[in-house]
Amino acid sequence: MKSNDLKILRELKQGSPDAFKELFDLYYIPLSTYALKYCDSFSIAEDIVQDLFIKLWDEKLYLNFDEIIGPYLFKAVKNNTLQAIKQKSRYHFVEIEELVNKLIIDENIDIKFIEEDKKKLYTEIEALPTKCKEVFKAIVLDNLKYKEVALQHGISINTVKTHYSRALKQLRNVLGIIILLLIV
Amino acid sequence: MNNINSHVSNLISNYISKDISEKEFHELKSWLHEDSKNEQFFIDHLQIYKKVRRIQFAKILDEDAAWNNIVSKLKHSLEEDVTTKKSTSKSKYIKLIPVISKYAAIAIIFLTISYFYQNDYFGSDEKAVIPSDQITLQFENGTVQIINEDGSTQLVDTKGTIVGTQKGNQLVYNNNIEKETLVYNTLTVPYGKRFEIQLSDGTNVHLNAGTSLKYPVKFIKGEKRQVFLNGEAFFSVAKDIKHPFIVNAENLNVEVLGTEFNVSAYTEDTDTEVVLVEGSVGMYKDSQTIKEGTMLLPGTKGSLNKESLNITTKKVNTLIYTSWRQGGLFFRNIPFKNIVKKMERHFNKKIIITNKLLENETFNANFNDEPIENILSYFNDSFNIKYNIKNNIIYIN
Repeated sequence: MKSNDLKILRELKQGSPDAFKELFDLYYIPLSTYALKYCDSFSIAEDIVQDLFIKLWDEKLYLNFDEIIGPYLFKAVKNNTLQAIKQKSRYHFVEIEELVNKLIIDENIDIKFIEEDKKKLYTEIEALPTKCKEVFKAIVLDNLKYKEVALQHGISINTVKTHYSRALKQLRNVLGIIILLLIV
Repeated sequence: MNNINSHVSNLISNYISKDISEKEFHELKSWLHEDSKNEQFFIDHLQIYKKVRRIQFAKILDEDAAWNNIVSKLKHSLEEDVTTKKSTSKSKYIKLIPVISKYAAIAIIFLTISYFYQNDYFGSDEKAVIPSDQITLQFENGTVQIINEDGSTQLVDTKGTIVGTQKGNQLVYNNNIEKETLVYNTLTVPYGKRFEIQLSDGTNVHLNAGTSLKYPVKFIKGEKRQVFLNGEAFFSVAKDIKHPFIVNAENLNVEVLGTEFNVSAYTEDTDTEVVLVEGSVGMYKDSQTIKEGTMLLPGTKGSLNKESLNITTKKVNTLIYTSWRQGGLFFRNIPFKNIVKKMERHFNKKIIITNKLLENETFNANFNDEPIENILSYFNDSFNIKYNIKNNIIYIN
């Protein structure tokens, strides 16, 4: 990655659009998933990374670099994301969130690994009782609000909460396995 | 460790889904401080949540769409930068000016012709007759502009403001214009073609062959975002909880907050179908509100039968319903007459089935972006269905 990064930077400095596309291909997914850790919103994460690429090209920011460009991109994404969610995160455990984010490693995200993780994790989710499973999926995978889930399933908000708590509790019981599987 | 009571569990789920009140937040905080085991438990939970979210996110990330979006927003376009590098002398810039104004003139003449064409021959008829093999854009005042897929144009409203830009087979509307009333444009894609459009709110719509979409040039703040569809389109709706997005397809409404789904609503089809890829949508008839409607889960198809007016749902492989975006034709238990209709739209060919018995027989088949001859010969080889071509019309026996 490192030598490739330097090669791209060299070509970028000559204004090569191909190098810009190469940089995008290399970093778009890792940067987006990195942003997600801090904002927990698919759309904010993508917006921030796209804006960064636009700025990088339009303002020729790459001219300022002599070292590899990757660490700068990650840092910029983190700062911009935290900036973007500043108002929204009133009830937020800053230190704990930061600790958890550190536990999730970002660079060199391999889609194959993610696919494998997904399979293992989905097996655990599938093992949940039906209602718990549906509610858990709706909230975590589809990012729906309690209200939306309640409406979708024709149940009360309290019932949604009960199912969700139960799902988390049960996943907690197999947590040891999951964490192991995910961290490898 | 395992004696986590349901109240704490509830607090954690509220925190994770960002639905936590101030009081609950402080309760959770003091619980975390009680014991380091509590904190570990919480950290584990948060980690599961974030990992699952990340996996889901990586799954749905669309790099091509992101790249197109970036390119469309660049102030210094990618090509432009290459040319400025080559032509740094001032004289080159001056030479460019006559060239640009020549193009401008062509554009104006072109617009005038289409204006007269529209008015002289079709008078005040609201339903404009459109050249059947061109992608067209109809403005609020009835003027029709032809969109050339190889070219690029800028869309200008009656006051001269640039409202959008077309580059190749994509049309992007600006978000920074100001409008207080709804002004509609209608985009029509003929048989044999597909086209992409980005609305002013950032929503992407991919239109399949034989489709028209009517949408506001700019959505109005505080009002629902509503568009009108005839045909088939894939929507990737920009999330905006304050402004629900509604697709009106004949007498069916599809309402969402921000998600990805496919709507197929061809006038000649018996069912209007909605296939949900991601998120959540509600389907309801014109006479209903969303509360009385049917909610769809991801990976589900909702069909409104136009005769019985019943809505039914079914689990499906969404890929089958969205493969057309890459030029694919996927058929699952589809009557032959519907397969033929889809082929007519896809290839812009007239096809006639001469054997009535064949019409309602159902087939399964997958075709990636392939020429019509391959598909016809597949049916010939596998099912002994013969065909011949006369005067550019395909007859199937």
